[in-house]
Amino acid sequence: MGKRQSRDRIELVYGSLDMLILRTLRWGPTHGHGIAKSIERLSEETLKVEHGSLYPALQRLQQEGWITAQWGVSKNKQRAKYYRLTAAGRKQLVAETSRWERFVRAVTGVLRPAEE
Amino acid sequence: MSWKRQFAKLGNLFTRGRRTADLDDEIRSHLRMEEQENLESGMTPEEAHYAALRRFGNVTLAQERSREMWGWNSLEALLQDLRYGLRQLGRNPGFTAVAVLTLALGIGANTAIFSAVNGIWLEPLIYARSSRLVTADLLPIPEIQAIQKQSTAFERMAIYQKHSCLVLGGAVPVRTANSYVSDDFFPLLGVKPLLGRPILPGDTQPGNALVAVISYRLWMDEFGDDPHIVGRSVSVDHKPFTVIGVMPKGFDLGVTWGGGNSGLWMPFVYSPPDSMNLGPTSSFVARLKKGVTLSQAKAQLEAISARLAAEYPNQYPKALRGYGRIVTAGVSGRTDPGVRLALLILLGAVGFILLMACVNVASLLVARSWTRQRELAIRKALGASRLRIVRQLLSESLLLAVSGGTLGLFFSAWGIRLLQVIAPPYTPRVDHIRLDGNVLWFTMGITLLAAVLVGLAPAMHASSRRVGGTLEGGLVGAFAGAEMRQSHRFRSALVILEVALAVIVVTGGALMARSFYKLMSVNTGVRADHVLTMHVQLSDLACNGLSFPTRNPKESAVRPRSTAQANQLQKQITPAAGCALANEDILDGIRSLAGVQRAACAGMGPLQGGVVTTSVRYPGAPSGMGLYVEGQQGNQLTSGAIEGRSVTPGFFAALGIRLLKGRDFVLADLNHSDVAIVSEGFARKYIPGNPLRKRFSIAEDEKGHHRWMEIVGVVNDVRDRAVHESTPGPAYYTPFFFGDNWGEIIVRTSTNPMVIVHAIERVVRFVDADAAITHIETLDQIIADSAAEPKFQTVLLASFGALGFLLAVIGVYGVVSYSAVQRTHEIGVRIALGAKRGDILRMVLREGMLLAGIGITAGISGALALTRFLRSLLFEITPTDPPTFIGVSVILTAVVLLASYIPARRATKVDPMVALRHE
Repeated sequence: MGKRQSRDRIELVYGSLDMLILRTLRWGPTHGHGIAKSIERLSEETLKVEHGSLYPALQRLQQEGWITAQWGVSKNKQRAKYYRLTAAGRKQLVAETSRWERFVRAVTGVLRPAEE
Repeated sequence: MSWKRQFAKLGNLFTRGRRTADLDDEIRSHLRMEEQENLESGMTPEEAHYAALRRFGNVTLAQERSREMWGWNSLEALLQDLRYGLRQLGRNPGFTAVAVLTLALGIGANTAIFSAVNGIWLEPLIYARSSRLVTADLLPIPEIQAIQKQSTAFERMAIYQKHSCLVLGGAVPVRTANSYVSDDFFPLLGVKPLLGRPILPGDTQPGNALVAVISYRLWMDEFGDDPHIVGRSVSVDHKPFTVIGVMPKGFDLGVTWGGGNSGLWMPFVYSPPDSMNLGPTSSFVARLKKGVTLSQAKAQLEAISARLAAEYPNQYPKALRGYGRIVTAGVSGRTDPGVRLALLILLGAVGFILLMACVNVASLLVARSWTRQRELAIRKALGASRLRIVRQLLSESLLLAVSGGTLGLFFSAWGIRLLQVIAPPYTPRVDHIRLDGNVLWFTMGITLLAAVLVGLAPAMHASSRRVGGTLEGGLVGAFAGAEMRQSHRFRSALVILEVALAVIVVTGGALMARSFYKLMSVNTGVRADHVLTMHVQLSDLACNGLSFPTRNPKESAVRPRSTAQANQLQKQITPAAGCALANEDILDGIRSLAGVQRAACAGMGPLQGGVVTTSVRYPGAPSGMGLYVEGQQGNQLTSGAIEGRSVTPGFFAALGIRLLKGRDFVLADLNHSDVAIVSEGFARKYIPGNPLRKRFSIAEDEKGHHRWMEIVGVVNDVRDRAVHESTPGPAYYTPFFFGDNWGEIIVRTSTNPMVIVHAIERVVRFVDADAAITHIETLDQIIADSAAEPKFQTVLLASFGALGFLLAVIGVYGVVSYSAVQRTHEIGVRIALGAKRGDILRMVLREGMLLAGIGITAGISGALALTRFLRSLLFEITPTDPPTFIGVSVILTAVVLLASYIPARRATKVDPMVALRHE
């Protein structure tokens, strides 16, 4: 990965990582590596996620009861821990997403008032 | 929701190891996957590995951050502190042992005394909702019935009347307290019988079969826990009663109010009188309705009493009103205020012991924290906050306190057994003293308190800016003047505190010991050695003249010479005359025994009090009671009380009471009740001039007539109620009426009185095989028993005093000698600069003297404030007794001086060069 490429990446806004993880898990249980990859993939490599920073977040989400974890076997026959969204997590995701959308609309409104 | 999360975090603490491994696994698996992908995109294995690591970021940081999410950081830090503290304490086993032992003594003593308070005082009675129970004594039955009808304060009420009775049919004839109870009594108290049934409404109807419920103790002692006791017949006061039930253990015990200590409960059969007739008084027990307070109930009772008095002015004299004082029977009403005060004093004394133990350990910790300067300085340099260091020190004191508390629990178990052994006889509920939940909570509480007290001083000391401020300061300037002075001041304060506490505890113990010594050497007015007393109650058979001396006491005592003769005798002999004959036979028989010097009879035994005439009217008292002296106007008894006692000739000689004037009674007096002998105090107080041949009476009837008694003799004063009675009260003696079927026999022997007991018993049984002989005691024993309570309190308070003294010696010596060792360097410098050893010794002693002086002054002010609570326990000694205070001060000053002198002397002997090199 070159230097230019990494400059194009955007640091995550504080707190938004939780939402991204929850969103990723909407399509089914995934392990930590899978979560990291799908965030990168879906943001078209724009969002920079240091893989290590996923783990404290995962622990926190577990603590809150929004996700649960279970060891399983990956496609490559490797042992991996799979995270699954709970009902509470789903609710949390809806709440966070709508809050995020309001935030984005507000910021967009400030940045481009004339375009309406 | 939030508590759930906290709970999960708490759970995390215990699964920590497993979860850490789990997280490591997960991260490893993540890295493997990333590596795999990198390999697949064509990297070399090495490149793939490092790229994966780069992508991941700081692995350790991720692990740490993740772990932080799990738990309470502060709690983890505490665990870490505790682990560290444990290592520290393990490194100083000597220090740890002394500290733990000191705290264990303090906590153990407190736990033991608290368990006594808990068992005797706090533990609820076995009665249902006992805290709502109230009781009142000495009320005329019509008034109780009026209360029952009119009062709205009570849920339920039961009447009981306490008596004493003679029970035959058990192992031996026995006298016991019994209560006549209404049918509400057992349902009200809500305790089911162990066997059989309680008294039911049918039982209290007049004319029903005679039934009785017996106590657990009577069942055990007299009926050998016979499982078929229900239905058995026993003789109560010579009437056959059927046992219908046995109450469980604890039902009869532990209360000072009416139902307590009864051996039997019988139905209270009462037919209401036609008019307001006061008759004998009774008591009631009732449960307050929900929301009704004791004072509200009291007000209601007073109103009812006032109404009755207005309605029946003649039958209901003013003096009676308000006599039946209502008290709580549940929790606090069952131990008398004296016992409660004594328990509180003990608790206070033992609290001081704990305080001293804490000061001791705290001063040891402060001394040690000085040597730990270097360690603390390093920890500070490595970034430990001051708070963290304080927490570290506090966690060490917590460890010490918890270990001390645990060991203290073992000590207290031992202490409780000791308490039960030395407790005065008949202390209620002494078997309830044990380590239960309440006591364990208490122990936990004082353990935490001790942890704070012990940790506070060192923590304050360590967190002060100077100490361990900088690494250089801690390492190089360990003996820098300012720090040294500050630490020194701290220790001085602890010494002063220690001395002050010691003064208080030791003074309390010394006062008790001195008072007890006075009590033991008091002149009771009798010669107590070689005197045997026993209570004898004759059977009806003997008093009816049907019991005759037989050659063989084992044969039936009832052996009429012939039926005709018996019938003849029966006509002639009234019960009184029969009793008189039997009594005379018994006294004659005893006098003829070898080893007996004198024998006499009395209505009441010595030191058990007599019939009391008081200046206060009480229900049932004949009207006009008081003291009237011929030739003087009106009632002379305006305050206090006088005691009357009936005695046979020889009573004074048997007890060694001196006849000061006049003569003793003679046999002929026994049939005339118009003579009396008075005590010296009586004569001095009430009879002016020569008392002989003066006449007095103790009652005046409505017409102003008296039954005058002529004074024929004067004897010395006797402490008649109990040894610790402060001054002997006025007393008079009347001739013993031989026709009574019971009395106290008093025998003076020339040998050990207990040896003759058997022979005396044989004499009594010879005359009356069914006589109840109880309370066989020597007078020495009675005196010892009457002093048992002060003795118990003295033993405890004096041993706390001794323990306090020991702690003070150890504590003061520890701190002072430690600071002397600290000053070895300084002393070396002084000597090197030419100071004389004597000068240095004087300097050290002067400092010791100053500390002792301040400590003792503070301690004496504290003791003066506190010892007044001892007043009621002290005998002929004031709580501010100067010799005690002076003695304690002198001894403690000597202790402080010695504690300063010995280490100082050792320090001056050290070679100055060695001393200078000392660190």
